[in-house]
Amino acid sequence: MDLQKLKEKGICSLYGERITVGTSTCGIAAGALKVKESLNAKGVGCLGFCSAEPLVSVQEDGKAPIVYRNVKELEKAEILGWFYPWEFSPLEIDHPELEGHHNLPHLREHPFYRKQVKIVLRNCGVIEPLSIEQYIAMGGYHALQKALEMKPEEIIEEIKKSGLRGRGGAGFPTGMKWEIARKNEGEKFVICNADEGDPGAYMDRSVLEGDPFSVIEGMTIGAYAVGSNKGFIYVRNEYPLAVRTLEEAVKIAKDNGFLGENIMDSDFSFEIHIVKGAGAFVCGEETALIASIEGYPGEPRIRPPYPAEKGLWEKPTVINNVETWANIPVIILKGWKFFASFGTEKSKGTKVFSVVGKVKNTGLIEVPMGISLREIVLEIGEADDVKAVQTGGPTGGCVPVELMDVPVDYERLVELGSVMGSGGLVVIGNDSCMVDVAKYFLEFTKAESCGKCIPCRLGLNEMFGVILRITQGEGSQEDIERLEKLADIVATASLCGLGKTAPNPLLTTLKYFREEYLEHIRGRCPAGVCRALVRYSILPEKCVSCGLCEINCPVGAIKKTDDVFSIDQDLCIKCGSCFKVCKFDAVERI
Amino acid sequence: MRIEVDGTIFDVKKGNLLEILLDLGFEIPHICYHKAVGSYGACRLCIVEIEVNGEWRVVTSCSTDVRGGMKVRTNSKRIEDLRKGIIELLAKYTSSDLVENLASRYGIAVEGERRCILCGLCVNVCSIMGAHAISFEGRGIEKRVSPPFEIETEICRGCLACVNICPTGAIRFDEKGEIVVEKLIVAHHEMLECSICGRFVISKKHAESLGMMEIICDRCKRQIAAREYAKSMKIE
Ligand SMILES: Cc1cc2nc3c(=O)[nH]c(=O)nc-3n(C[C@H](O)[C@H](O)[C@H](O)COP(=O)(O)O)c2cc1C
Ligand code: SF4
Ligand code: SF4
Ligand code: FES
Repeated sequence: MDLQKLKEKGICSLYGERITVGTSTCGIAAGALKVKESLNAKGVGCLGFCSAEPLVSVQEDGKAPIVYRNVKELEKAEILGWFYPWEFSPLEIDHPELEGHHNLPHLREHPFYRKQVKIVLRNCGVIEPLSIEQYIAMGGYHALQKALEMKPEEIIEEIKKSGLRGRGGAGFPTGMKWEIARKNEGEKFVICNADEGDPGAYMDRSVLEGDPFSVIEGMTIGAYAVGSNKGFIYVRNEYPLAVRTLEEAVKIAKDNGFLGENIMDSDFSFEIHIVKGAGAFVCGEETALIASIEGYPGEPRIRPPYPAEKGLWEKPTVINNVETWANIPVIILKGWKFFASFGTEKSKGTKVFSVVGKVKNTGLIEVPMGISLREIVLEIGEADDVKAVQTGGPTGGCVPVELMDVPVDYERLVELGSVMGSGGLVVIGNDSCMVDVAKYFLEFTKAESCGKCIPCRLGLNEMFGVILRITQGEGSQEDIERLEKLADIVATASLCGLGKTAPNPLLTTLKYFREEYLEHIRGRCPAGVCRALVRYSILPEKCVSCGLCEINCPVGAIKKTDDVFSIDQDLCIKCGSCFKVCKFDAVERI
Repeated sequence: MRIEVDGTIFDVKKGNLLEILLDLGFEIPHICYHKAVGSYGACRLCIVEIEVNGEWRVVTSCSTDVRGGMKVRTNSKRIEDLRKGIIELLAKYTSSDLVENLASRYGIAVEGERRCILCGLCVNVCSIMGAHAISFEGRGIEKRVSPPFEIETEICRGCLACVNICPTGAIRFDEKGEIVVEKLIVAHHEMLECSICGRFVISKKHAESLGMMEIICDRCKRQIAAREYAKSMKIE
């Protein structure tokens, strides 16, 4: 194994003439495979800007690549910007001189990229995911080389000082977790949690598909630091491309001496096994995940003991999230000070978010901790109609637009009733009903509750029943008190994090949008979303009898009598078609 | 070591907080904990408050080890409210003597349909017996105890540990040799008779796995023992 030789090969293939297309799952969904074929291009990971996909970069010899957006045919595509392939990476990289395109916009000038800092996503969309040479050319495996010359305790100290906290949701200090495992004796394991069950979140998938070696290198360093020789990557079965990429990457790493016996000619040995997840949201919870690897149903277990003391097969086990692992090589190579220079007092480094919902620019972003939600939503996402932001996935909370100045920070988000979570970020517009939003998330968590403990299994079901009643116009004031009481029981008495956090969407919407709940109880859904509470009618004074609504009503509920149109309320299914098509605002929604 | 419970100081040995509190005479409702099975954490009724860094935190006592100097509250308003809330949920969804009993303390009406409260005791004890004949199927409100694929299983040995441990009577056994959980048949057993009185005593499979030569029921065994004893004492 010769790092230098591999690096030279990587430099050659990275900086020559090259056309690349983002062919992660998101790119493929936008039609990237067809584009890739027609251009005879190389597939790379995702540059993050999903609403601009397919994204194609064209790099002529000696010149920096130019990125085109929404490509169907290259000739007709719009330029997004140009960039140097190394410029997102925080690592110091040997590279040839490339000529920039100073007459064209730079990628960084685009609002979507302006405030991003890429540590985790440093290589995504730049290197070919399975090219270990390109990974090394971008600074890969230099951290492992350095780590193997350090004492395990020194590595742990470095991670501790960096302030890195788990990116899978709870934000536990990674270095402390490693230290606990290090101090325990005997056989140990490391696990990468790649279960990512939050609907709409795909940070981890993107890293696995776009830069699998960063996770593998991180795990190898972690294993060396805690004294483990065996690791597992537990990845969602619904991520076939990620599974295939990982399987290949593990094999390639092994063939090149970065996994297996005597890694990089040291006396450290480490192997990684890929385990496909059982598919339930709760399997991402660490003890459920461990149970699942052991072959038991994915049901959370009592903690303590924590996995770092007694985990997989009762052995000390370090379990970290994909994003957490991908940070490790950068911290080792650049030092803790570099990492800790980003962020707030207690939340260091960067965080990847998948920004979806009512924004112009949807996609995956990596921002320094401490940036405000407002900057993310309005500047990066370029949203123009925001009512609230939901952070933290299905068990996170809704932050109203007035409080969007809150910085991205574990503790500050909790103060508002939300959580950092794994990084799902949904922008909610004014056309959404907050009661309906809470109902949606409760429906999800009640279905995903593993059913083991009473508060979560029965309490969430009860809560869903009550909120359903409210959205159907049958709620009462007591129902709100009942919801609050149930939420307290579920949040306090449940066994695992799912139950403990599942009431968050309800509690935050009740806190910040209580008036909307009260309106429902009075029989009105202000956003016009809850169908049982919506009524469409035609204002005769505005109606010009054009008949457009009649043509568009799917059930024939609109009839003409005495030259004016009216809606038969018994037939109306409240689809809102008439409301949308009327050009004279003659259809009223109440 | 010393701990403080509801304001009183006690001298206690190392161990499981729930067991220690019960030994000290505190009334802590608990369903899913069993000495032989250990803590499972499903019923959440054994909650107490303990003081951590000056704050009272709600924990399940069955999964907590005592530490010297620990301060515990077993019947604060917070705990009582939460417990009552959990029992209300149980009473709405299940019904059994056990739940009746718990609910009556709070004046709650029991109106549930199913008996099983998913305490897991049966599943866990079956696994300790090494049989793994029953497990949980489904999630959330659909979760239930079931033999593999919900069909009668051959793996069950008929040891009846599940029937004996079930606190609600949701898992039953009848004279025909059928083990049933709620309405689902777990297994059907051929039963062997007592060679003396002729009553059915044990499943054939279980007798075989125990290597029993002669099938005698407990009652007859006792009678024999008494007779032997009398003979040895020469009481005729
Ligand atoms: C219901 C539930 C689902 C979870 N899902 C995930 C997940 O998909 N991925 C993940 O990394 N962590 C997930 N977690 C958090 C894990 O339990 C655990 O905290 C994490 O893997 C630890 O790694 P970290 O310290 O690097 O964040 C979940 C937790 C809960 C309660
Ligand atoms: S809190 Fe919910 S998901 Fe977690 S163990 Fe209890 S029932 Fe299962
Ligand atoms: S059948 Fe009985 S022992 Fe088994 S889970 Fe249900 S209540 Fe508990
Ligand atoms: S006895 Fe402690 S959770 Fe059931």
